[in-house]
Amino acid sequence: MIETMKYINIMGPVDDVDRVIERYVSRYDIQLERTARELPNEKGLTELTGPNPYARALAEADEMAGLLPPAPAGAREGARARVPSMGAEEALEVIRRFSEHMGEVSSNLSGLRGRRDGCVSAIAALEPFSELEFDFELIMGFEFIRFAFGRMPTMNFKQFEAFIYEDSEILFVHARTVGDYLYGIYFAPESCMDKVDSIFSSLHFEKTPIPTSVNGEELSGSPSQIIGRLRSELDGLNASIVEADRATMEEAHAGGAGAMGAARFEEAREALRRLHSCHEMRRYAAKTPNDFYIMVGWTTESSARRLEAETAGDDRLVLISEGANVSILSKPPTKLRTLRFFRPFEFFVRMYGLPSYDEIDPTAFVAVTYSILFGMMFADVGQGAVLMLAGLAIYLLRRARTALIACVVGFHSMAFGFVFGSFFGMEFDGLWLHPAEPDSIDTILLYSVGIGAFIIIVSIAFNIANSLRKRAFKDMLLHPNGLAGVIFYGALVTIVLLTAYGSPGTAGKVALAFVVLPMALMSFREPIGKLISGRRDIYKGSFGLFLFETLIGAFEVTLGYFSNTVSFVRVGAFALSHASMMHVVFMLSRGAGGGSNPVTVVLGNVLVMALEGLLVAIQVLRLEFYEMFGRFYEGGGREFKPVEY
Amino acid sequence: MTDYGGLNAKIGALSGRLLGPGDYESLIGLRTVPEVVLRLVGFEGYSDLLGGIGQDGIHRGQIEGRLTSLAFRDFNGILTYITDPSLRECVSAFLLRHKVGILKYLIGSVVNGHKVTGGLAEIRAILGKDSVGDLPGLIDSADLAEFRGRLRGTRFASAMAAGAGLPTSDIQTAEAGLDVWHSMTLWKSVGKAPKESRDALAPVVGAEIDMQNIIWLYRLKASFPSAPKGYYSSLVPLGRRLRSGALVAMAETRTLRELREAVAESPYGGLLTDFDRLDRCLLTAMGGIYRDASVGHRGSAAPTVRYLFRRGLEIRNVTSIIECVRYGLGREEMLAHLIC
Repeated sequence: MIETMKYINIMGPVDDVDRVIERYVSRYDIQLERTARELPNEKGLTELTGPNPYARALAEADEMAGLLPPAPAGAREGARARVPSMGAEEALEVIRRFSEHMGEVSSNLSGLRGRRDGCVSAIAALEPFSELEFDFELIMGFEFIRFAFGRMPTMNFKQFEAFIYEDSEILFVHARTVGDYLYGIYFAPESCMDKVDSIFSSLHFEKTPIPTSVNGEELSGSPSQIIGRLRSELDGLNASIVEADRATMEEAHAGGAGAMGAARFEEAREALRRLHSCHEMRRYAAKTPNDFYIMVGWTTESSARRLEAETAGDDRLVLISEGANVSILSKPPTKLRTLRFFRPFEFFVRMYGLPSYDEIDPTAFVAVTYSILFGMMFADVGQGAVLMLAGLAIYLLRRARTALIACVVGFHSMAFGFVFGSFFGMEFDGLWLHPAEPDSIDTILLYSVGIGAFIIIVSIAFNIANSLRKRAFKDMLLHPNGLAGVIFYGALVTIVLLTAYGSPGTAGKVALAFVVLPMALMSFREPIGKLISGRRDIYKGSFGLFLFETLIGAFEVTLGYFSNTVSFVRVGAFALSHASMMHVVFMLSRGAGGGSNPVTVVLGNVLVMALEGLLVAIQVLRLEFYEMFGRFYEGGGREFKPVEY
Repeated sequence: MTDYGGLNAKIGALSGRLLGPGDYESLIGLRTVPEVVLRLVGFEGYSDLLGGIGQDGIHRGQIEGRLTSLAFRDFNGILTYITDPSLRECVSAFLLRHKVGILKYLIGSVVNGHKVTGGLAEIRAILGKDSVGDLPGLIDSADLAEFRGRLRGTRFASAMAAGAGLPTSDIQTAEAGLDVWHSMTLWKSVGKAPKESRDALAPVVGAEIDMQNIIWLYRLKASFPSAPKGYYSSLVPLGRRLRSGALVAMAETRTLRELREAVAESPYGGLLTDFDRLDRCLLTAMGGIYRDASVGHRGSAAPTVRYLFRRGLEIRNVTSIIECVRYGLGREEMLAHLIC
């Protein structure tokens, strides 16, 4: 199912926006939209942008967090629970005091890190030019020639080559091409460097600042030599940093943690993170010319009700909650609310595309049909049990929800294993018949087609429901996947059954009543639609050509139904092939003495499980996506993504 | 050797559905946009995508998107007839202009803050296999830098690389980069096509690039008369009959009048005559060039790409008619906007 969504508007004085975000918005799952874009007709709206006042303090706190010993178990969760009691000032004070204490101790570490960063940035700047063999000191000492290191898009370089390179003032040395960019150095006389700079600037040349010294030492030699020396220095600095880290952590453990506690520091850090996130949410809001803010977004109906109740007594804000069908620029996002049992099958639905808000969620349908069809095609008690247990093991070890699909389909494979009487390929008296027996082939194939026909009818019913939701009444009634289509298809199935069971006369009457008329309605749905809307040009060109095209269209629809139905033969075919492959395994395992070689049986089972399992999974998915989804599902929804806090 | 017989037969059938002067006349005589849309729905091949949509308040971008995605249904059908990979790539490259048009539209919406609210299905239909990744995310980009970042890893990333370090609102740089990339990609694709198609289409593409360069140069000189070296980032570094030296000489002219004289003396002087309506001159000239290529090289992809061009022209004409009707222009004014 798809959660009912509400479109909410929150308004109030702009100086109150932080309080509203912190007190209300951050505590609910709301997908905020950029208000300025949502309300294009409102004049004078501006976005609430600006630097985040908590960014620096939070960055500092995050850096210092690495110096503290690991917090006791549950400290972080406890900090989150206690956060509402710590305000901004208190949190900043905690961080400041800790920073003061650690200031001296960490200054050495900061210095080392600064030197390391200097080496890293110099290496990064020189790396693209490492293949050029020139004396760095020499060109830095040029008096009358100026130069610039940098890169430009290769496309712009082609323009440079075509239109400008013949200019004798410029010398360009190509260093390296990386992706879409070409690195190089251009040289020009000092007297015309301004002009050359503007030429290269117009070609989107991005200059790379190259340092002349790193950590107080002048750079000399070729770029590759400089890079080599800097890398050695970097290795030494990294080792020193590791040592300084250790010393700092010991000091933090001895003094910092004792003075105020790791838990208190975590509280302050968590409070800052919360304040930082709340401030970031401001960018979704917009300010009106008379200093009010407006914030819009989507939330679930239950959240909207709770939010309305909570804000009812707050006279500094106005909250309006509207239905999803209000005419607004955003499409309602989709939040699936699936029963736990069906939830693993959301994986397939998401693979195709989330349902749009006004579509039916097909997850439950996929869960049921996928499981049953897979079970039929992979029917074996033992192999199904292995699949089920393997899925369960993966889920328990890795918490991968998609592994539960293997559990469910494995269970269904076991069930159909009992129906067909197969245990690791060994046959026993099942509840119905054995696929390996020649007499069973027709029955199994016919039942497969019958199941397919039923599934197709259900799929068309879903499409009718979807069309009704979208108020596309013409499609609901006259489309091949609409009411006319389901009557036509149902009648065809009935005719086949009646003819098969010896009532051709009745079949003829059914044909006349329930096949001819719906086919006519489907074939002429466009002209009918035009007539209903009062138009006279119901077809273009000659009547004969129009009729011919209509007949071809009718044939195409009928063929489509036939091919989609016959496609389900593969269900029975795989059931038969599964049994046949196990039959072959046992044939190969029989030795001269008449008994079965257990190694061959085991290996054969493993091979069949792997091959057949993969094939069946893909084939059932194909049936789901093509024969079923193709009839009723578009999947153009956008996911509900509440702002992360 | 590619068999063009089947392809040309398909093109012949599709060309029969193109709107003719009589069809345009019937549209021009209408008074309101809903009437035009209703009449269009009656034409062959227009009913599917135009039927059932809201006829009131439909705006230009929406109708153009619909029409282009409708045309892409035929284009994709044409591509299924082409089995030679290099020829398929060549013909696909002629469709790039529409995809570039989509990107320009999205760039405009991002930079100007006008949210794209609908037509995602049409955009996806036009872009086809040229994925732009997360399309809703791309549309929701806060600025051009984010837009560029989201295109990383896609085919269009290199087109957007130009000017990546510039202020994020530089829409002109982004659009110029896309146009240049499109022309160069098209040229490269034609170069890899089978010989008969390459011989037919290289002059066509070359002529278009030459005339496009002249038009862009004229506009840049009109807007920025004293920065000739700055023009080159917007020009395609390729040419057929107009070599880079001639183009540089045009860029170095001191006035627009000198430029016009230089153009008049160039191989395209007889085609680019109306400097107030250069786009119209280009389209009219290209119509003739495509026709000559198609007639002279039946055993090549020239008839196919000619159809693509004519279909693109039809989209332009229909969109122009709708806009003219919306603004209540007279018949003569409307006819002036059409290119047949």
